[in-house]
Amino acid sequence: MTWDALANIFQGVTTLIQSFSQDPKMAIARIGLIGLGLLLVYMGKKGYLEALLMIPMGLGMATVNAALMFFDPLKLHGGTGTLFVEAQAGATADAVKNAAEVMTVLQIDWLQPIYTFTFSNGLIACLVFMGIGALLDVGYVMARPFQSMFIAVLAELGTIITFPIAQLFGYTPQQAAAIAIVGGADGPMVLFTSLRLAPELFVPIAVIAYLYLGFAYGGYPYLIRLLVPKKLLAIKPSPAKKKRNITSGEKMLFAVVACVFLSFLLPVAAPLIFSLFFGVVIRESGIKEFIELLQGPILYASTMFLGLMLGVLCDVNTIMDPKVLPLLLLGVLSLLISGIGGILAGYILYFITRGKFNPAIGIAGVSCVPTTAKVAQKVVTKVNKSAIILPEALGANVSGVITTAIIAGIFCSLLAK
Amino acid sequence: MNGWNEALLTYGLTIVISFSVACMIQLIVVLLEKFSEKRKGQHS
Repeated sequence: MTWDALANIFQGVTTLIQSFSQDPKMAIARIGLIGLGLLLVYMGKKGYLEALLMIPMGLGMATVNAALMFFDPLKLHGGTGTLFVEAQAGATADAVKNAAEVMTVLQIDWLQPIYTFTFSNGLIACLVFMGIGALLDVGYVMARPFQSMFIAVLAELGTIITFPIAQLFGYTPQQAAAIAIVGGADGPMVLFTSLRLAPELFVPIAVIAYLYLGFAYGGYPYLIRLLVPKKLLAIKPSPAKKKRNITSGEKMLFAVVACVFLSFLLPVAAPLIFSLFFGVVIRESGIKEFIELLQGPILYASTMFLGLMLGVLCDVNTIMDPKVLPLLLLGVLSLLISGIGGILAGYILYFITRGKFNPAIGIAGVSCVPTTAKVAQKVVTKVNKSAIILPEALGANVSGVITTAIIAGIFCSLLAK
Repeated sequence: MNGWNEALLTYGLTIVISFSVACMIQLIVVLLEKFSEKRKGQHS
């Protein structure tokens, strides 16, 4: 057996050795991404990060960077590639010149059909949104609409401030908007906006957004503890005035009216708005079979494939693009400002109510449903076990989804090429 | 000042639309409350 034959069998090793001699930076990045993938699996398993996304994403990231071989049928990556997915197919018009090339990658890469038919057209974002809608109880917003919207609007500050800052880094207004929407902390919305406005940056933006959503789960508790003293974290919300229960019919009415109203105002974001409120309407309709379908198989299958695809898309060729590095900074900046904005709203409500509002609820305005609401409750419970802030936090959380959809719709309409 | 005008326009519109939705919710809740009170009155 010759060395050539051995090198041909163990192409993962050979490409790494070759990479060390030709471009050591890429080789180190490849090893780093394998390590990061394994770390994500570990952190997901331990509960430091969102396990639902991080375990498939981490495993995908580690495996795809290990499985690099001498294979590049579309000649897009300097001679190396994998049998997983071709991210450029369908994402940008110039990368795939004709239908035959699309057919080629569809037949070679085993995850390509999922990517091309559900990912790069935004379908998976809509499916996740249907599932999320089926889990949302809009009664929390209906109980306190102005308070919830106020928090959600201030928790969008990260998106608004990052948009001009990203342009200072040399991104076009479309790319800047797609990056800034990370501050809304709403994964499906980021997928949708980046596909609409900056398909060439869709993969890195989506990957970074979801990575950071995982970090928001782990990082926001520290932000809350940093900005809100223990005395204020212990505040119990004042008992709500005796109000009658909001019925499922009323919640359904709100969902229908809001869906039509928002789609009328922002047709560009209508697929997402519709998907979200469709889920809400199904939940409130009481059709058990549909509810179980949306809350179970559709939500979990889409989340699993979303995580897996995002991990697989993290190959070294995509991540080492020089345009990606500033995204790491801008994404974290956007989420940080949004978190601070939410807590600022919490403080304003604390002063307006003369100390009866727990400022930690503000973080739930960042619309990572229901993660940020759960994070707020977890931090508060550690200080005062009897302080139940979850209903108010979920109200802000659901409003956050609505405000992020509004901003996404405005960006997509205002900046459409 | 690249992008600040669009950012402010987006934020302004977001505030207006978000609070319109909040007003709409409040209106729905109040109207339905009145309606249910009326129905209760008719039944008793």
